[in-house]
Amino acid sequence: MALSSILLLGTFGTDSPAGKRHHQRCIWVLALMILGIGLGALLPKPYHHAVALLTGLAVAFIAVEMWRYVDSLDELEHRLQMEALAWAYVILIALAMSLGGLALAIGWKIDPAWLIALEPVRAWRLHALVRRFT
Amino acid sequence: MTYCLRVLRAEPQWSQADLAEKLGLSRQTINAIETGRYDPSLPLAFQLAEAFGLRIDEIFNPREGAKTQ
Repeated sequence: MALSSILLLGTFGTDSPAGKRHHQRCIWVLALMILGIGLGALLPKPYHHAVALLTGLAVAFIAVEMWRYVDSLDELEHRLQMEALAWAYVILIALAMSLGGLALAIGWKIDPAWLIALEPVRAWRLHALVRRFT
Repeated sequence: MTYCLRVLRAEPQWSQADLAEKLGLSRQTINAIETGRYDPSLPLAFQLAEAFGLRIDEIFNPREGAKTQ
């Protein structure tokens, strides 16, 4: 399992056909999403809603691809990915509730898009689990 | 659980990668099973036994060095 792939992408690399497909599709969708956001910034404001919708669709596609990828793994790899996802989910809930409380208390607003910062947390947890089993 | 996969692999001269490919697993999973870090599921245990043409209890011994996850 490639360490760089685990820490940077939260996957076990491109050795398997499923891993390769997952990486290729996600890279294409991410590239299109970034291009769309870039072009969207140049468009008038009414089009920004469409850009936001397309961004959401792109992220949803990546989520579905992630699910398909995890489903294609063998039982140990599947277990490691699911444990890392579950761990990140619990942190997400705790963080979202804390930030929500903070927002209510002091009126501080945080863009939910920043929750993407939890991806490295998932990757780090995956790395820790891989070290435990391999 | 204790396993004798390494010994069993030696006879047909299969590497971990060979066995992993036969069973549709990653090499790391075979390594984790061999080193006792991971106890396979029952279906996978049957698959492993079948790959070597043995019974499941000839590969996996629950009495020695019992380990739970």
